[in-house]
Amino acid sequence: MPRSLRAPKILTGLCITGAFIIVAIVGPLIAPFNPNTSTNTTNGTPMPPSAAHLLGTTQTQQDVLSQLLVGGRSTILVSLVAGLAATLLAVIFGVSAGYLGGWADDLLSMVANIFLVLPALPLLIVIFGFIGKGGNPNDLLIGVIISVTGWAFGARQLRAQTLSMRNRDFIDSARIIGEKSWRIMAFEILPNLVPVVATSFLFTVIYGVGTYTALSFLGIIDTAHWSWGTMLYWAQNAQAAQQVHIEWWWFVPPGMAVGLFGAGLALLNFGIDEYVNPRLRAAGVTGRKARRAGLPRRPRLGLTPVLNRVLLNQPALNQPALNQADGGTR
Amino acid sequence: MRMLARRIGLYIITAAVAITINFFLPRLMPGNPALAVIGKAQVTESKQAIQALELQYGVETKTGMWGQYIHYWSGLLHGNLGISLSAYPTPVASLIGAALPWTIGLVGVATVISFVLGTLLGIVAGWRRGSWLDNLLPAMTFFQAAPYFFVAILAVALFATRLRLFPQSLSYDTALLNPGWNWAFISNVIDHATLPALTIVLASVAGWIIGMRNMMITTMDEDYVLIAQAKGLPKRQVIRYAARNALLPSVSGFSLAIGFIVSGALLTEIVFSYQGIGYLLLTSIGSDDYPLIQGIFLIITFAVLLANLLADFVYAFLDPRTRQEA
Amino acid sequence: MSDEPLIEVSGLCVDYGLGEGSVHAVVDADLVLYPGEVLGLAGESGSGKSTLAYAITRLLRPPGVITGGRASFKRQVNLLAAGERELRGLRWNEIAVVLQSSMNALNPVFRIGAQLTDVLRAHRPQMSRAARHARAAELLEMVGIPADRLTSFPHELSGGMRQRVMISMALALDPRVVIMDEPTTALDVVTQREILEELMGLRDRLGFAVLFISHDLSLLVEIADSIAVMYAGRLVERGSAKAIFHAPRHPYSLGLLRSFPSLHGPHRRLDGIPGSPPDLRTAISGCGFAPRCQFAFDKCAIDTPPLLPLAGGRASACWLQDGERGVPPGDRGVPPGDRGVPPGERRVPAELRLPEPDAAVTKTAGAQ
Repeated sequence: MPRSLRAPKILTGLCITGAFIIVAIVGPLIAPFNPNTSTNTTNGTPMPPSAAHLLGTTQTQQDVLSQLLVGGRSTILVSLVAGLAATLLAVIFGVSAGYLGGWADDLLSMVANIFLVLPALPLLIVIFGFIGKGGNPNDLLIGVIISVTGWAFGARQLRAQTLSMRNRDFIDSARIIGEKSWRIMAFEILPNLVPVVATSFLFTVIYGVGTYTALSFLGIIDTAHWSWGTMLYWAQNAQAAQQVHIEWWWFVPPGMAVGLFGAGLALLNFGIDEYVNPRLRAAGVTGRKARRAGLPRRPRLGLTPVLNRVLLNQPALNQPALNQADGGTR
Repeated sequence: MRMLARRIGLYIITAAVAITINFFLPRLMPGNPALAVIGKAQVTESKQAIQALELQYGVETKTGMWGQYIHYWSGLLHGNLGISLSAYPTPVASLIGAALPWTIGLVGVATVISFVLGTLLGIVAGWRRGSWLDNLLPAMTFFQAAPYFFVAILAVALFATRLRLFPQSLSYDTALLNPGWNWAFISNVIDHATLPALTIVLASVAGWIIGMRNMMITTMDEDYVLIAQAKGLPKRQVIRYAARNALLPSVSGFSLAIGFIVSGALLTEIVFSYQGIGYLLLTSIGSDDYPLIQGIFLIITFAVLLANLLADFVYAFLDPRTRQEA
Repeated sequence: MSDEPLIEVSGLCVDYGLGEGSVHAVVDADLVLYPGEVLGLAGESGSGKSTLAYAITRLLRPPGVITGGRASFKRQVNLLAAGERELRGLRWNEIAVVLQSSMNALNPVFRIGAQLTDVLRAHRPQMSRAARHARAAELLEMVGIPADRLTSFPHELSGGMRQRVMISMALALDPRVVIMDEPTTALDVVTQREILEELMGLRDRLGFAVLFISHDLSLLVEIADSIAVMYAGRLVERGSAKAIFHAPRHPYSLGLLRSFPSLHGPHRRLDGIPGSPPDLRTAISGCGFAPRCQFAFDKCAIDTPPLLPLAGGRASACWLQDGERGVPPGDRGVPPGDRGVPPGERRVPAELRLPEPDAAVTKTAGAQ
């Protein structure tokens, strides 16, 4: 595995994200119960984890674990779709704005800035509110709508990068040859922007997860459609955290799931960031290696470290010429 | 100054876009939900109310689309956001007006605390690179990713229910006290606001810390920091020289973050049943109170734009390069 | 002027990083700087000249580490062992730095005046605010900038003005040593000339010593008293500027001098130096320049030449200068690469054997 991929942040991030993707695919298949069915219609109190229900039950005796597994697919799917669509929009808007310049740039930048400044959640609430809360919401559609509010940040970054690349020699030569603009953007500029696109994608997926969960939590997305956010909606509805016997098994799993998924993606992002911006990488003279050489544990600015054995080897001062310094006669 | 003028222009255009979206959305959606709203209203509301609704949603077709648009704008400029359905006949504006101060107080204070704390910690983390603070980063990414309201729920469970340190909900003990400028009331308010504020700070501070840390590290590579060291200046002065530059992206990032923070704060209010805009939003969604939903959307948008403008002023003040004319 | 050197460096080794993969940026460097002297440090990019200068003052950024040698200031302060406080006392007071890129060296969000007075406030606490302001104005005037610029920000000044500000800033505390790292490289030739003249004028007036780092050997020959040439992290030649210019004693210096066209004298072909510098991560066996040297012979690839002292206070790290004679043929055969040097003759080729320039005119180190 290339050295860069072995960095702890990237590795951990990959593992976590990978695990969640697997859950998204097989989740509903391995769920022990149907998340909608109440296994016992007489008991009105959520039950803590037991052998039959590994993560306990809700107020209506639905299995929490099943809800988590089934809801996982929707949550992850929506966030991935949102990420993809938003990144696509960001690439189209950002690279075009950066490359074309002039009024096209002004117009595209204006649109991006507007979407950047408009508060996303309230806008989505209004949109989803009017789409209608009934009926079976389509995960793909939800993802696309969410992406409409999430593309602007990436677009701005890509535009900045494209601008810095626009006057490079290889772009100029492609232009002189007569290559079409869209081809230049797609085949010359874009390959160099892959790290930025990757970071932008990951960032938008995190955004998608958070936003979708928030919307479900608000109840603006059909509350019968299982996702981690919906679980939290029902838990909050039943005031699970305010009960004397806190029903933690109801709200902690979905919340942790969102947090972990996001953390995995964020770690992946950090890893890529460090790879791209070498300044952020540890300078290589820290930690154990440094201590063994007798250096201070972390490098301090303005105080270049000197190896211990060198310091022990110093002569007393005020001696006449050190051996070759004067270039004396020999 | 030119930069500021451009920003103001952007905000005005954005506000116009928001208003226009608000106007067109009910008319664009399939099945015209406005009809459904009015249909529901016809059972309970008076004739005048229904007429007002029809006007607001363009069902009555005597005036054309453009006429309705103008009418909508003029209404807005007079502070008319429509009449709430769930709390009929209270106007939307007064409902929002009652809830807004609570939200502004909570979000304002929490955001300032979070920004200041996050920036200071970020400076330390960046300066003392390689120290134990760096090991906290992965934990912080979790806090950044976890949704605000989940942190809120956890906070309620831990601090309010379990440890009984703080109240579980509401902005003050409605059963016991009446609002007034007396210490009993104010202390009660603070008591109720602590946990929500803490939640907002916890959920947002990680972003500031990480951003500031990364910027400090990049700045410390700059030549002027090397010169500051070469000058033999005391450490505090060198940090100040570096931080003052590293601060700039954080301030400009503030504009981006404010949208997120406000959204997160609204959700936090819901968890705590805090009587601010967030809670109002939840009830409006639950009761399909479209005029209220739309009104809240507009007010939040304006508030965010205003906050952006303030951040821009601060940035122009901090960075002398922006004062150059073109 | 006293004979005591200001800065003495002996056997300094500086690495970037530790352990395997570390780059040996400076190996076994010796340097002496006398009061009032202009010492030029010449070499191409990556030769280690900046690294050496920053390492002496402990300003080298991570991952730089000093892995060997000694460095002292006025024979009183051990620069390598000094603590933070001691170094801070020395910095700017005695040793100041001028960097190449003046745009980045001046903090963009603070006014010029503030950046001039901050050292005064730190090192001269007894100065009043008015006195500091007066001194700052004085400093600007010294480099020909009107005092009303004290309230300007760096981006409001031209490149040449900013560099002048940097120079005046360096002289704020009347230091004994000013280290200049390619101070004029980023400027146009005309401004370059102006600034250098001002600089030398200030040096004559205030008497500080200068460690002038540059890749431009022709420039150094004009302004420096003595020159030290670096290659691949090692010092390869040292001597007075005039001597090195007229009579180089190392093939690398010879190559450098030949790379610059002369405005006077006969036309000759412009030669470069073929090849490229070695990878500093691997320890180099033998002379680092040997692969590119036209005079290299067998010993060059095996033994690393130390800085051999020559007459007149000069030194050269080249086996050609070791005074050995050629091997008579038939004696273990003629060694490969020993280009048919007649037995008994010194190996040094003619180009490296030019006569020393007029001794009376030569300013050798210490002869001030």
